[in-house]
Amino acid sequence: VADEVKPDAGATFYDVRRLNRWFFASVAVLTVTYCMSVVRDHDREWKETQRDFADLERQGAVKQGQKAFVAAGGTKLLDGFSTADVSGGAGGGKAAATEATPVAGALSQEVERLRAQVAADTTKRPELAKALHDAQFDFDVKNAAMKKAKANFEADRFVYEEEAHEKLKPGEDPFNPPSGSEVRDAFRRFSELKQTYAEKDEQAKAAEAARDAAKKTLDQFDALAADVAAQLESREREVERLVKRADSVDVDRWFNKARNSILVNFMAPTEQPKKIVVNEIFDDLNFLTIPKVDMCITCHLATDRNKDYPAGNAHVAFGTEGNPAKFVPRDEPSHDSPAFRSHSSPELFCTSLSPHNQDRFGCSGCHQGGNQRLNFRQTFHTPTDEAEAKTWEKKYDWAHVHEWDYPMLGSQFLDASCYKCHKQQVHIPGAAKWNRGRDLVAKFGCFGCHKMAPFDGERRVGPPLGHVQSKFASLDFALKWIDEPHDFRPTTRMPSFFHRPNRATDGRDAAEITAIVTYLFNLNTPVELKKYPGNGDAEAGRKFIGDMSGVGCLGCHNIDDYKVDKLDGPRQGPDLSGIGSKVTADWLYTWIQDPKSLFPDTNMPSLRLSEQEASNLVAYLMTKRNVAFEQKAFVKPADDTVYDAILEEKLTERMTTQRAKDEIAAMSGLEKRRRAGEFLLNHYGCFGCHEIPGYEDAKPIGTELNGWGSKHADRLDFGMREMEWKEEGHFNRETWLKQKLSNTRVYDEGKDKRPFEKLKMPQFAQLAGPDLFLKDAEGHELAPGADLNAADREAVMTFVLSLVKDNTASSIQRVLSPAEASVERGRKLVREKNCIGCHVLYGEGGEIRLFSDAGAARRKAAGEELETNFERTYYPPILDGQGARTTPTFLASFLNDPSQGGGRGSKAYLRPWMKARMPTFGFTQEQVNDVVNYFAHEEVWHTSVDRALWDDLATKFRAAFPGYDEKTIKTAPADKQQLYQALIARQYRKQGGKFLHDFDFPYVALPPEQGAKEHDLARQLFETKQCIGCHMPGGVIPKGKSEADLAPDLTKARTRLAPNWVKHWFEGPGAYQPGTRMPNFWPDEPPGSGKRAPIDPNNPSADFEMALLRDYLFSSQFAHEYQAIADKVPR
Amino acid sequence: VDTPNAIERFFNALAQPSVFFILFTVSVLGMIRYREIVTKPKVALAILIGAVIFFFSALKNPGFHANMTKPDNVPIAFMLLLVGFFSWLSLYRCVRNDQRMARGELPEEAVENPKKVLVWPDLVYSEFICMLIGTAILIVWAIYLKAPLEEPSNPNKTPNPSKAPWYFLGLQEMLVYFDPWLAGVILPGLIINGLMAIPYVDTNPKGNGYYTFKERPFAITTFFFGFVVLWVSMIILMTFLRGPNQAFFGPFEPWNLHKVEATVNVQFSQLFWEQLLHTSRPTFWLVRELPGILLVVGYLAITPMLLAKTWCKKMVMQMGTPRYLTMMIMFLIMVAMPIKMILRWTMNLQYIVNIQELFLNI
Repeated sequence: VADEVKPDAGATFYDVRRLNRWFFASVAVLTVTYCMSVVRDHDREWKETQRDFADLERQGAVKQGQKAFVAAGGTKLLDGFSTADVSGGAGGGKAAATEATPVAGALSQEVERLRAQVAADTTKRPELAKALHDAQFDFDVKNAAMKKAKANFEADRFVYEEEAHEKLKPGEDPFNPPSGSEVRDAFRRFSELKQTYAEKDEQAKAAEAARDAAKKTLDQFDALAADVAAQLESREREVERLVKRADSVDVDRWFNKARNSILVNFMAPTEQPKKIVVNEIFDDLNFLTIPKVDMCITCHLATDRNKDYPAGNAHVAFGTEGNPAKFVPRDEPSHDSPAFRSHSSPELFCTSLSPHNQDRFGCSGCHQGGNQRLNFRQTFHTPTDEAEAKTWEKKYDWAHVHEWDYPMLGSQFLDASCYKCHKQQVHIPGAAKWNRGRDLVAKFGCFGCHKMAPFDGERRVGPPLGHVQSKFASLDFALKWIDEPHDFRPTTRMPSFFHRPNRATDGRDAAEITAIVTYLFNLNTPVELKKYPGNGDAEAGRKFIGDMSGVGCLGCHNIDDYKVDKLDGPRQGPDLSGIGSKVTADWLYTWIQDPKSLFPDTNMPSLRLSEQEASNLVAYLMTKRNVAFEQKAFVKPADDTVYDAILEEKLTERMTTQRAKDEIAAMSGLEKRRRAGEFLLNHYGCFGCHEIPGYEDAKPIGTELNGWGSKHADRLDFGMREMEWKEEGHFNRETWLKQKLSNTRVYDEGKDKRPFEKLKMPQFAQLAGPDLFLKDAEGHELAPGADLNAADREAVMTFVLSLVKDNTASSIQRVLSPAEASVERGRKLVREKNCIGCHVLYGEGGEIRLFSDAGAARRKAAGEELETNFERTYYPPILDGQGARTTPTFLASFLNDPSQGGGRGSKAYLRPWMKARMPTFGFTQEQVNDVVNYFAHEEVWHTSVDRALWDDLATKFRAAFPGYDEKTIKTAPADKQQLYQALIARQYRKQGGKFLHDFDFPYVALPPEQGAKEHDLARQLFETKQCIGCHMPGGVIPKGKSEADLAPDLTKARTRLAPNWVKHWFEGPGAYQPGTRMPNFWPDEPPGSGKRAPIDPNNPSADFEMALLRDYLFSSQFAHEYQAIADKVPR
Repeated sequence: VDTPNAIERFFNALAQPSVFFILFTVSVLGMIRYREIVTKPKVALAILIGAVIFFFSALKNPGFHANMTKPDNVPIAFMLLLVGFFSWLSLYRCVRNDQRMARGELPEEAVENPKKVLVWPDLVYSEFICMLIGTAILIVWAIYLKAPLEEPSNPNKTPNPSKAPWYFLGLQEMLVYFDPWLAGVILPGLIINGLMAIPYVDTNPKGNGYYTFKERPFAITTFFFGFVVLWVSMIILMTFLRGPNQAFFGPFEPWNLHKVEATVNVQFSQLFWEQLLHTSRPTFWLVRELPGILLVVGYLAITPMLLAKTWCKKMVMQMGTPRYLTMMIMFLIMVAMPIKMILRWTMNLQYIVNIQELFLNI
């Protein structure tokens, strides 16, 4: 329209003045927005945290300042604070001064005394100075007089000597001239002058002494005054230092404000992000692996504080989880500051005294989370429970964030991180939950189906199924057992496969069970069983199992005749109540005599039963029947249709439907069940736990769990819960795992699947969630919703979560030396073989004692008289410090054959009165070495050499860390006690401390043979100490004593005991093994203390006596004399 | 997880891609057809208010809320508002000018400023001011809507759904309907070439410097169809309606990872031989695919000629044959896009020509 029109040179389309206004307006807006971006960038969440922390430090300094202020004497030093007033405005110094004023009146006496001296200074010193001055004057005068007299005398002496020489005849004494001689006058003059000089000299010396005394008095006074001044000054300086310290962290001080202010804070701000670069643990960014950079300490500022640093600012001041500090931040009076706590286990983590110091190990290596981010939400804090989540939502604007592969581990699972570096250990000191989880996984044999590195090459946990036909009492039992093992034995470790929530109730379960049992019974491999002669005495068998005096079955097994309340979980061995319904008498007879003949890998040891003992036991056990279970009916499928369906579903996987149908039609009924059974056995992976002929090398059927702890949630099947849990923030591996263990079939809920597609993981009753099993292990009905297994489930979860993708350098791994690996294998064996079923080991185990105690209680209740602690006579020995007590060679031979050649039916030779037998485990030589190594190398107090050093370190340790006071540690769980010892052992090693095994392993040197005189003394000592009263050879009971008084046979002390240990033992058996009946002879009655006479009057020291007796025990004649002494004892 | 209520289910049904696409096309064409009513400020305002009310009441639904407030999606939602506004503005001014010209008056632009304007200050200065304001807006935006930082990228765990940047979503949507060589190579090339060809094809001087619809109905309608329907609606579809595994979800439908769509695609040859002739497909690919090939060739070769003889006689005369053919083939290819989409949605038709032997699919 207007294309021919030329633009007008002067006029513009828009009004330029308006454009200018627009321009300025838009520039203004842009400037404001730019400033906004700078301000927003400056204003960070963590800065507020650091300000709060600085304020906490200021408060600490102020508090200390107040103390120092009082100690410095208050008012006079108020000047010191006024400098702070000038520099800090409303700063720390002023606050310290004003806050301290009320207490300033309460001056300490010391300061008063110092003050008095300072005051005396002004009055007394002039007097002393004047006295000195006078004395000096007196001395000067007298000294001058003396000098004058001396000069006169010396001059005259020359004159006189010359004169006398000239005038006297030879032979005359010039200093005693004969009377009347011509030098007589001269001599008189000479003598007078001499006399005068001597007098003046005397006077001068006296004056000098007086002057010196005066000077000394003054000097002493001055020194004292200087000291007082110095003391007061140092107190003033301390106040000044704290004032400065308070000022330096005072966020309200103008200088600090300026340093931290916007655009200037790039120079030297007090508020800045802090980081730890962890070179040995990595962050996996998928395309790149980088050392971890943990910025957590930007807010968590007190994690590494312990009592020693900084002085006075103990972790107590910052508080710990259990004991939060009473700290009030500046702006939020109700705000408790967990970020400022010291690490809750300062003995283990973060602090410089701990094995995992913060600078090397960082934070996120264990805790995970967004380590390079700086606000609460984006660092992916994970709450422990819903309550904590609620609090965080309110306080920190927290919400579930999905955008991170590794959010922080909930505090309940933190033990899982230990395994990252402690891969080679079966038991990690301090990681109680992980240890429990590992034990449970080992017990339930999860690794049978799920491959996992810690259990590679481990034996299967269940018994072999090759000869079930000869083992099970009947086929019917086998059917009902698989149908629901917990009906027969609530504590069984065998899980439930059938009647689970995802199973249809159409008879398929019964068909599957029948098929599997048919298959197994037809697998039967021949096994020769000993024939049970039928001559057993059931009552004798019952007594033989015993409570107080049993042979030891109860160390591993439960049985209803001897019930103990505290032991209802799955124990080492199965509960024997009802065993008569399960197995045949012949099988049982063979089994208890030689378990390894039927199950070479079994943990069940041989108790060296004689045939009669075995018969009695079998007779008794066969009476233990589970009648209710026997009466339970199992309905087999009426016809073959279900088997046909099973076979068809399986066969059509690899052939056409018609061919499958033809093949099925050609099978006999038995053949159908066997084939179906074979398919099902492969489907359910029975060979994961049981050795089945033909399946020795079968691959485990479950998901591999190595790296599971790093598995992404979207690789897991959440079933119908996915959407819901995503919304609630539960879409994570922890929740998935918890539900999976609670109810293994839960993710099939609401899903339409074919039978073989369904989830098949069996349900372990001991991990099951609420309402899955309606009875507890005792058979009591459970209340709806009751969750008995939460703790164990959490332990297993912790273990599974610990199996993560590797992200650590080998240098930070706890790598075991070959010797340490042997110790670790030994530790594993001790747990696996359940030594702690009978023995107590570092506060753990000794289950058999409960039966003994219960038995004693029962007898008392029945009116039988029992001596005090009678039952303890039958306690198997405590194994604490076993490696220090016995020689490695003895321990090895003992483990190989505890009866020491006694053979079948023999008891322990060392404590012959004991009823419980140390079983023969049939260890290989390597296993024996491992166990011996384990005991010998366990670095605890018992094996330490330098007791004084150890005790000193222990005292310091207890003082430094919370929760380790003597009383708490004595009653703490075994795990904590072991950790306590391990940590002290670490310090002990660092300080150059030695352990017995450092020089006494594997061969222990005997003490030198005694001379005749010592030998006699020692024998005398042995007899006077009444050792024989308890230590009788052969377990013979002396007259007037009972079994309760017996102590180990000393015949083999020479080969059995370690001399070093014997010495330690004598020094204080009570301290060594609390509760021992060995009297504390030497600590309680030292020789020459008045309580008793020393055995050798020339050498009345306890050390001498203890060495004497020890050497006697190890002398070659001892065994012989021991018997002779014993023979004299009336029986 | 809340199940959608009846109203939400109704909108979910409307958002089914075929329904959504047809409704969208119909409303765009309807807006053009009834522009005189629709562009009245009161009507436009009512539509805007209605849309805003719908939007805010829909925000109560958590799924919709999450989808809309995702930092990635907020700008897209804003831009939709801008597309609506500018569409309205252009049509509004077209209508006013058309009415003026019908009354024999000059267009508004000619009256406002009959002369040419200066580069400085009228163009450069005002553009500069716009730039400053735009920058300020971007800064404020960046401050209050932080860039979404996610976990380190992991080749073993890609985001689901994986989506292109918003401006490429139209292209990504094309990949669903065409073979990658077509959707990823040929068609984008044609789009760019087609846009470049516009000045040479469209020699109509009318509408230069002022808004008008009546003088260029075909050009404006084609633009609206090509841009708003085929580009913007694809962006809406991809951003808000495609969820995990690229499955379709209604605006009020939770994004369940496991949603399965029953899609068994068929080929045109199957339809022709099996459905129509009830015989199995020939084994030789040329014979098998001949109907499809003929259809494609016919669509691109015969349709322009047919149209030239019938409805487009005047157009051929005005433009000349080469321009007409260029324009018409481009146009037909553009129209092929919705045709293919509708065929996919209604008949699950995958390819018209499916020569696997030569890796050639159309």
